[in-house]
Amino acid sequence: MALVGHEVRGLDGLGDDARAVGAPLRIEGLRMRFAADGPEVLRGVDLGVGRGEIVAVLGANGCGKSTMLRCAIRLLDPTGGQILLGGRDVASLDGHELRAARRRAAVVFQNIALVGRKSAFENVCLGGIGALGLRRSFHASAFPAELRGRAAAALARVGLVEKAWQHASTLSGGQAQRVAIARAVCQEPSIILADEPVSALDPRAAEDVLALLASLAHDDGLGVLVVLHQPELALAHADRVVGMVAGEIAFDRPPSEVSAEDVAALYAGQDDAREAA
Amino acid sequence: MSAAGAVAALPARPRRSARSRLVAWGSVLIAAGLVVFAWLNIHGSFAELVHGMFSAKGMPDIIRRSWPPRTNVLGQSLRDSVVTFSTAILGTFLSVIGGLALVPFASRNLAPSRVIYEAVRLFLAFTRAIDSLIFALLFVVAVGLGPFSGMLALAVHGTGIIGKLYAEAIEEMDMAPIDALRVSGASRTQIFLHAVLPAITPTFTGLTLYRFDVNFRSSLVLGLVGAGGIGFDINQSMELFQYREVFTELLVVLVWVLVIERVSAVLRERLGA
Repeated sequence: MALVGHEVRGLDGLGDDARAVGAPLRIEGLRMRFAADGPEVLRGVDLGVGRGEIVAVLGANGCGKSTMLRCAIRLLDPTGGQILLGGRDVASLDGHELRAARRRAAVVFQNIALVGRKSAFENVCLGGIGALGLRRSFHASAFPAELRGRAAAALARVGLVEKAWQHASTLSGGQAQRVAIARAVCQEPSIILADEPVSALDPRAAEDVLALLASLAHDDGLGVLVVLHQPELALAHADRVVGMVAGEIAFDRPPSEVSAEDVAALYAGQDDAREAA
Repeated sequence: MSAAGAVAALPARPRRSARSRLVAWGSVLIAAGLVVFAWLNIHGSFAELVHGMFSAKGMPDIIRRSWPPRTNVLGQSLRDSVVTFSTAILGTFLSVIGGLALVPFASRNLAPSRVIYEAVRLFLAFTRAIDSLIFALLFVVAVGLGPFSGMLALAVHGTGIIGKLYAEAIEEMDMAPIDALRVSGASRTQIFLHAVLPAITPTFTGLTLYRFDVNFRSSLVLGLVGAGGIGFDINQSMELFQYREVFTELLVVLVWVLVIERVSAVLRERLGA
């Protein structure tokens, strides 16, 4: 098998920040099966993300990258293992506690997920409404000054202040994704989880978005976990590159230690699988 | 390569199976059989239709006795048509309030649980299944004759229809913004206010305007059972064989319907609904 010889380090191979109990995200022994008699999509994944660190996850379609990310914020309920967001196991939480835990992790989606009929600024504000009561979040005009200030700062952080009052539906793909990142920043999370955030973008916009995510990790001290299909972007911007194959971590190392063969091995067998399909 | 060459290169078109041909022809025969069955059940008669439409005592007589329209009832007709309009406005408004209140529980993608979803859907189906005319008869007994009964009938029946239409619109909407807010820790109400409503407002507006259009015409019929408005006038004039009054009243209704349709179309176009 192509993976033989790859080093699988899991949590043991992580930096001190990612191992620490207070690390933004620790995933331990994560298992997932969509149907009781179906195949296991995640098979004991161990992964951690520390403060000020950007971690890129690479792997072929169907290897479990996005499923892992969706489990991390309980959009999916895992069948086993632990997910610690800021030290709390989200698998055991519900209701208000789950909402509070989710606020520690902001998600940037592949399909951007802005509310098209709202302005860029209002969309950014929405990142922070989870912490508000209904009275202060009933309408955009009721948002507190503190939230509005934070949203303006987040929009400035992604370089789109001049687009503040433009409807989200009229922004370019790259601009919309940067607004989505600003919304994530406005949430004041300790970690950003990005699920293929550049899949729909041209190379220039993709580069800008990855540079922005890396800057949020290195300059703002956030943890960033980004699922990618672009090995070159992962190698250029990430502090650690994680390779996944068939629901398992194949390798987890700094980009300088990831070879072309390592990357090729992640996608080996895809052509055969496509032919078979 | 020529277009003809491209067509020639296509493989032979697969033939439909004997079973699917049988199903198709069977469906056509069943539909035709249903039409014949229904016609026999209503005792339909072409002879009676021709006689009613063309004999001297049929429709030509009604048309002759309707001309010219009687102008002395115009003022009363206009006043009562405003009552009909108001009945439709309030009936639509209350059904929108009812629909909006229930729709978060009646959409599969927003409902907090399957049990709540099924219960609310059942309630909406119940209010939808009973026509506003039946509700009007009930409300006339309960709260008395007049447009108030008609408005209540439109509100209750309309809640069932608007709730279902809104819920279906929400079920078809893009879930990405909803998921984005859900994972940011927003509550159900916040998600509904900030992700669902803005996305669905044009569709809701279009459905509401359409429903108002229907309600105006329904409130005419409700007048026939004592729920007031110009429908009540038409019923009285018909019972007294005052066809010239009926003609005037129908002209007033026609103007209202044309104006409402036009305004509704313009609003929907402007709102992109």
